[in-house]
Amino acid sequence: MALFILSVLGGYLAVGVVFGLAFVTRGIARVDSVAHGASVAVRALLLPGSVLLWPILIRMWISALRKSRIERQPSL
Amino acid sequence: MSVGYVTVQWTRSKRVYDFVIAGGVLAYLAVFFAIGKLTWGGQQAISDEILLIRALATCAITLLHIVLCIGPLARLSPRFLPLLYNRRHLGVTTFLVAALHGLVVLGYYHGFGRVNPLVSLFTNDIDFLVAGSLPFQILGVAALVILAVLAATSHDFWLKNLSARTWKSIHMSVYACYALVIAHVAFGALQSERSTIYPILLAVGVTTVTALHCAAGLKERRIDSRSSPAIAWVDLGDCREIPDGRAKSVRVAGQPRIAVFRSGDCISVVRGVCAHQGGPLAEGRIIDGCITCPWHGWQYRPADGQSPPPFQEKIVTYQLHNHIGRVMLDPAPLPPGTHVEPARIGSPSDVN
Ligand code: FES
Repeated sequence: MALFILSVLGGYLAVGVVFGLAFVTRGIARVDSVAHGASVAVRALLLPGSVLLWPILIRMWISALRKSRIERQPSL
Repeated sequence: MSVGYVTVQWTRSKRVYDFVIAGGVLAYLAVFFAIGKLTWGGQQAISDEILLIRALATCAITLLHIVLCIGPLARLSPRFLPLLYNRRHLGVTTFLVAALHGLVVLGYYHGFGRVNPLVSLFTNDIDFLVAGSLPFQILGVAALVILAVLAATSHDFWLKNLSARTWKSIHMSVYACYALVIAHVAFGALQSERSTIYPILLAVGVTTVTALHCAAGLKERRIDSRSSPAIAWVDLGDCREIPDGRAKSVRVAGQPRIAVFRSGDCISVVRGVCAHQGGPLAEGRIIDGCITCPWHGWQYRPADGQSPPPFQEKIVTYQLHNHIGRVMLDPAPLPPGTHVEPARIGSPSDVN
């Protein structure tokens, strides 16, 4: 039982680390234009939150991408 | 304000605050260690690791109590507001001290066997559960996880992007964390403790936190019950009594706090809640022609509630008019950033 809980938690954090690194390098500027050009220190500070909150941030990132795609589409 | 994120918006007072926090924590640990060595000597001597575990635990729980008391204290008296300005750093320090406590416990009690320390911690507590007592270590881990989430999401980026409402709800879980910590101590350390000093201190802490929250809640209820009903125009009273460059707070039923600012002869009214972290704008001042939040210094122009360029924050404004020399307010909020011509004190006829 303990092993199962720890495996689930470990899996969650492992996905979080991979996602978090991608998010702080590319995602934050997509989600929030103010974060464009943020320093390495700011990105490092945002990494733990990105690792922990990855399910929420994935959704935010996808909807930001969708929005920018719609904005880029030429209006007829 | 959001023209670009920085790690910390350092000010002189923030440096002093952080210096006091770091100095206080180190001094506490040193004093606890020294007293511990003297108290538990000879036959009752305890190892340095156990002393460190106790020092870190009592330090973290003291910090958590301070964090929880600052909010109601600031609501009870503006004298405590400066403590609120940098509460986030105090919260992060609480997490760091608690995490260190957890790491030393993990290493000392679970690190020397053949089983993975984390597995050992969880299985140990499940055995406890079978034996009919509460798994106090898991309670501590749960509290630590909450503190980790709060510390990790304390930067302005999270406040803005998770939305103020979600951010606030996440940060309200500090009360769940507090309950878990109390249970962790009550079912853990206090079970083996023979001295009465620890239960007494814990009871004093819980009573203080509870009493301060009740007192702050009662004070706000009293203010709310005196508020005017949200009907037609609201008389703002004698605005000449507001010192120049300052504000008074007004309550209208069903509305968040409203801040009535005076700048010379002009009166402007905005929602009294800062767009940053909900700071009390009515306790701020007009600096360089802008309403300045007392918490972290965000600024808004009185007439339209907009932050001066290049910043983009906006707050709600309210329609005003003069009625026989009195300033009257329409309690219906205007969209954030709407320009409203300021009312003039003593002007005899309608302005807007
Ligand atoms: S709450 Fe931070 S500046 Fe107002």
